Amino acid sequence: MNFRKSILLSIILLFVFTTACSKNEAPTPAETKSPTNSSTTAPATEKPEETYKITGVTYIFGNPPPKDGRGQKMLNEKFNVDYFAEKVPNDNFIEKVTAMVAGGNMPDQISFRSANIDLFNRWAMQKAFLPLNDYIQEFDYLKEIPEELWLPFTVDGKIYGIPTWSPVESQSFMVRKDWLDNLNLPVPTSYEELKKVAIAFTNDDPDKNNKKDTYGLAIGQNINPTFAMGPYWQHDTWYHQDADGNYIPGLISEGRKDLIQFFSDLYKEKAITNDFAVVNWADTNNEFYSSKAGVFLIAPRGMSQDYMKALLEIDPKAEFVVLEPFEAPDQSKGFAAGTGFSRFLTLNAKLADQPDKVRKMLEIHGFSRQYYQASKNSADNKDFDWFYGNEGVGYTLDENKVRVPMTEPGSGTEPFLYFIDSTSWVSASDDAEFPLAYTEPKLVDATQQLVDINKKYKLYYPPHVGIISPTETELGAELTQLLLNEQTKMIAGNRPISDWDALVKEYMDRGGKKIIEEYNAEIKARGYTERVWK
Amino acid sequence: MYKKTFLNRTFDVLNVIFLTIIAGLMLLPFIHIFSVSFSSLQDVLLKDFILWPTHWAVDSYKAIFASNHFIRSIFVTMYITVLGTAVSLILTATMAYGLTRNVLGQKWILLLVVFTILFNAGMIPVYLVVKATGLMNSIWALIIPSAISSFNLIVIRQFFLSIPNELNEAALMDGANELRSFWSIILPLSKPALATFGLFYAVGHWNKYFEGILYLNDAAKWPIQVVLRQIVIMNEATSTLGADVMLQLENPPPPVTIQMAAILVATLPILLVYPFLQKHFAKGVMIGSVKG
Repeated sequence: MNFRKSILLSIILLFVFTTACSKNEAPTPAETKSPTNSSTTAPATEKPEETYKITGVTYIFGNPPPKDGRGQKMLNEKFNVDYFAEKVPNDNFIEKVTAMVAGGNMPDQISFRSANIDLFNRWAMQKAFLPLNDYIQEFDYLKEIPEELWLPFTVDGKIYGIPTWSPVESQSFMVRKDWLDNLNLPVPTSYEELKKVAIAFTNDDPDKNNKKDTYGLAIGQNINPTFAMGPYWQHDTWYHQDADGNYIPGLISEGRKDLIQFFSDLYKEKAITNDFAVVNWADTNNEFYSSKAGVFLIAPRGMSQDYMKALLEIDPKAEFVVLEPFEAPDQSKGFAAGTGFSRFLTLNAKLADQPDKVRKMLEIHGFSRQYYQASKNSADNKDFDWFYGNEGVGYTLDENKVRVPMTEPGSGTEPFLYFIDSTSWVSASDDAEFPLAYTEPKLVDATQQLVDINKKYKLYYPPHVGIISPTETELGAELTQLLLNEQTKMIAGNRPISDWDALVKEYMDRGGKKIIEEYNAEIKARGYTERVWK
Repeated sequence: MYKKTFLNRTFDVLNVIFLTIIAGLMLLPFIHIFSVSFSSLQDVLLKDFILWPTHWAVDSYKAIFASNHFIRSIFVTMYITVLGTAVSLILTATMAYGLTRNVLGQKWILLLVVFTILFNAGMIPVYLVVKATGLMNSIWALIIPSAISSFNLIVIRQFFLSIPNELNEAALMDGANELRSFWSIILPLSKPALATFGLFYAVGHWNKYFEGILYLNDAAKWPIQVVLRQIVIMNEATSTLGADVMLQLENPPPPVTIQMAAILVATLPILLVYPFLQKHFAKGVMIGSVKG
């Protein structure tokens, strides 16, 4: 009996293994070969179209939909393609892409993170991507992209990447307005006033509960957020110039030194997060949203409504005022612009002999980047209705016409989930309507204040965006960490701020000098001399 | 007869107290995860409680169980774990047993096995093998490449060697063949070893993460660890520009209460296996420690 069982088991196992191994060997029926009779340059619209198989890979935060969802089928039908964009968890994106490319599996399109620009540059130099220069004139959505945003993706005069929109609008900082009112303090307009406010928040019981349980600025490890009220103080932009007129990174600038002095003064008064050197980002958020700290970061998008709601339950009286930029010692006043792109799309160089397929891909890409203004949403807009999975199935509209998804992404109901890049391109003339992303009135209001401030002041467009410096690639992270660690010590009083020049010298000697040279060579080549505010 | 002195007894008492504290410390993270997952976000922000929730809330669990993706991935992982452990045990045991017999090239095969402990091919060669064998985007890509752990194989082989060969000879004498003897004599005698390594394999399969990302391109097949990490990891802004990176996201990460609930739900099933294997486990880890 037992013996027979064992024989049976072995046979079953053998069966299971062989089926498993042969499972994927057969080519999928939808696989089609490239068109050999490439019909010159005119887009093929009239004659019966070929069903192209389009592969792609990109990164994702959170969890993607399943492969065979309703949205995927709708996409394939609409465009007559066999389209698949694989979405890899952000943390392991590069490992997977490297394995795919090294394994001879490079997909038709890759959508990179802006942080992957080094890798992009290396592969572009090895001619892995398709030059897009000729296609840009053919597609309106590509023509719309401003000149300066092509720069980071131009290698040896050829454009290999298409940037995806991200806001140029700057972040700022919000202050508890109810606390200011309780203490009869004005909204701060300079670091002097902000210092007074922070100290008053710490010592004068702004929430009137007779307990000393509040303080000024919520700040965490790596001196984050930066509390830079303009590019003059900002650590990750290039604003200051040295004696020779070369731009230098914000981390070693005079503005940064002033800021470190400011933090150091507040640290002595216990007006910033006390153990900031070891507090991670999530806990830094907690300091503000638990109604302990009174000043924190606000960004045009990506704020957590859950946390804001929690704060308003803890203290229903909480009100927020967003700070305007401070006037810098050089009389400038305004924030630095964001890079203007977040991800970017590249196409496989092997597509060079399949221009029709490339056009198909770009047509789909252009479609997925259409911008639908939230306040004008309506199911009558066919593209909008289709993109978000049809009214009543994929979404409903609330009283402000804002789209409310009806299913979670895991169900794969909506086509937009399946595009390699479904971020709308919001052109300069469009209103991005950031506040409509939220429903909590106080968060909507604070976001509106931030938008208004961004409209009121010109933005600084820094010269360094998209420049690759080999030394920076090699040593940049290490040197940045060195500066952040030493500056943390200065704030906590473990190293005197009078050591600043020695610290800058150490940075220079360990490779910073070379980084600055490499950057400035490129800045000069681009013709950037005067600081650009617009 | 050994009699305990006062000093001995004092030592025992202190020892018990000390070990209880240590055990308690090990439990603390679990208790923390448990309490945060059952609290409201306000309570967590206010640090209203230390170990036990002051107000119970099940909102996080509602959010978790409303997600098809999460539930599906738990079933995927259970499937991988059960199937993978069975495959691993069968392959490891049969190969280990084969290597205890005097077969041709036995030494060379053993050498090759040891070689893989010392030298690893690396990510891309393994990826190429998986691709060439057609396992790409199949659950089997998570099971077959790691079916046999060389270390486990060697220890199990050692265990088989410790079973007196006379038992096998007696079985053969009574008319059994090698397969029957392996099935009816050797395996029943090796239960502690199999239970122990079964558990090792099961935990290994349960925690499969990177393979899932590398070999599977359909999110519906992702194991729970990948899905879990996508829920939890966004909370950790490790880069120096953390705040900017975080705020460039179109969707902010879920609150910490949901993250903790996800961790708990993803860990509990495998944790529940331990008590049932405890008795075998205690015997099993001593394998090979005492001769004779």
